[in-house]
Amino acid sequence: MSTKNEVLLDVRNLKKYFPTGSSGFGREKKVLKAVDDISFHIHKGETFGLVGESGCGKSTTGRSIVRLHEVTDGEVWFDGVNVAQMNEKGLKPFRKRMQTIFQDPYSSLNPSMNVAQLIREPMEIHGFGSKKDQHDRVLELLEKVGLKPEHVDRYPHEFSGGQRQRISIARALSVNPEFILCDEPISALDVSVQAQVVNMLEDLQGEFGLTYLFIAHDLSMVRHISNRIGVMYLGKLVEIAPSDELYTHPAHPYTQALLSAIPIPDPKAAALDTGMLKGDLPSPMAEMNGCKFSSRCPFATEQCRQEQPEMKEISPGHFVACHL
Amino acid sequence: MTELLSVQNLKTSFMTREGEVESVRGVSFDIQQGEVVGIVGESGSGKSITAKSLLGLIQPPGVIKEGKVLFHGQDLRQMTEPQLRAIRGNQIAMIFQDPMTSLNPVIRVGAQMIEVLRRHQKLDKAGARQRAIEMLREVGIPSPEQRIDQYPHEFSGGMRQRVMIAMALSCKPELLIADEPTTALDVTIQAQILNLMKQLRDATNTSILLITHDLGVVAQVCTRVIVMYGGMIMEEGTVEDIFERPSHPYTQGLLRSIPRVKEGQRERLVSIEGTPPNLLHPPTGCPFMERCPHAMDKCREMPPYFVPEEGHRSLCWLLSSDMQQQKREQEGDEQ
Repeated sequence: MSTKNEVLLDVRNLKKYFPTGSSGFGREKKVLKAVDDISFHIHKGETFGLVGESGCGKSTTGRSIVRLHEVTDGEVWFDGVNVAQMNEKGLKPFRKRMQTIFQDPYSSLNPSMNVAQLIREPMEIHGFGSKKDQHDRVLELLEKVGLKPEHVDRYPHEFSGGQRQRISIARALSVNPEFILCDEPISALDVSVQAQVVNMLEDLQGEFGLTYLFIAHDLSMVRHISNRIGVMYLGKLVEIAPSDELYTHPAHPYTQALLSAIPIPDPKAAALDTGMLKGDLPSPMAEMNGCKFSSRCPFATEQCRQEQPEMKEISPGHFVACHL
Repeated sequence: MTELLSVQNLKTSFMTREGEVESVRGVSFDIQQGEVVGIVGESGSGKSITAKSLLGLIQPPGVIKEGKVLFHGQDLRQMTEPQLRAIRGNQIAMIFQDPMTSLNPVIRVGAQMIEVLRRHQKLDKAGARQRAIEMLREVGIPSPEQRIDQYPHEFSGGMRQRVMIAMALSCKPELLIADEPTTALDVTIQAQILNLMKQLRDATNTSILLITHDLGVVAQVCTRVIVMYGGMIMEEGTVEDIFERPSHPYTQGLLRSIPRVKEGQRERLVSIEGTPPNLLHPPTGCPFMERCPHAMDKCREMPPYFVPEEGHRSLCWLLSSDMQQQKREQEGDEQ
């Protein structure tokens, strides 16, 4: 496919720091480096998965890209335009093209709006057709996401988690976006419902040529849906590779540890291998000179503790930031 | 092996304004000494309510309507509150999903552990403190001597769950009920906690009842599995029975909806269409009927448990001898 090679989103040296109050008399401001200098790109029509443990900065990355956060530094090129430092007015056309589906289908839908209002709202904001057109589109979208026309005047509390996530998806689709940020869209759902939503996302991608940034901590589902995957640890991207490549030849010790920790739904599979990773994530506030993973890495050397590793391409399309 | 716990025909309902929600509708199972039994099911299947009912932890408007919970042959439901309290936390311990809310935020971790030890183990203050430090060390908390005097908010999620496990195990219970103990944790921490539970089981021969929605976790740690749906046990068997020879269409669907991690293949996920039954007006027949690809007229009638092999039971008409006969004939025709 020719469209596969066209880059839709190009993130360069993205940084997002949060000030976290002062330590004593306001002289020394501490900053939390939630996202610290990461770069990656997403092709048109592709699904890029972003994985990592809680607090690694994956959601902050996503939200910085769609500009729900101010970007501290770096560039976010969307279809040839850098949106990273753009003001709200300049952003408006891009807001339409980039939509988000959030994790919690219970808090992301306004409980006092009915389904028709919820799905229509983005269209109203972006001036999409007449009232009549909008209403027709609501019905069309409901059908697309597997809900019934009689659902239009119901309220979010009348729906289950999976159905609410369908409403969120219909809402995101209402303005014909090109890019959808899926921020843990299935984490709150039951296994059998997760499969329904993932299948639907895949169908919609095929139909509308959508590009997804899929953020999750469920590694087996990410592998299923993504073309390429980036692994984050403490604000840094440590590895980027095509999905199968990442799962069959993980190169970074953190990726290896993460993959070995997935419980496999097969009683014959080898027991959980936890020999590799001990302890918790260090505080993201702590300043570290070298590789951020060096404190937990079983292979860490003096060089790892001193020097930050650069991203290197070890096989076509497979990048790793590790000295080893 | 001796029977440690035997649950017989447990029924728990919630009396809501709209009517009676029958969350648990006649659940029976046994747990032997040293066994790790998993209860899996989706939200609303009744798995957590079952666990809470065992220890009488159901708050109004919930009511345990019927059933026996025999622990060493004694019915916990007939016991008085003081009798129950002597067993809870001592012989049967429980850990919950959210370690943030199950620890008291304004009391030091050590003090909370010492309270449990003094109440149940009749230790003096110094002895209880010593034991609490030992327990913290055992569950892998670094520098427990300092940590014991900290507050819960100074611990990470994984550490808090370790504290809960240390507390639960400090009285050497015979049965540990763990309700989604790792759901709120990251995978690498989850793996550590699960390993810890396994080690402790091996060291103390404690039986574990693990409630979870994660089939991966079940496959890794359990010896026997109970699959719940619509407030009932759909299928029960050893892990091998359930994962290799699932006989209930619901179990089969559940297993198919997990993405299989195999190289080069990207198969479409098989989802179970529809949603679980409303337990306000539970169906009189098989609860899975509406979503079942094999549903037939007979399913309007509640099936009994069929036993495809020893120790393996399944609530489905497909396993009746008539249906099995039909299936064999069909297979014969195809060949």
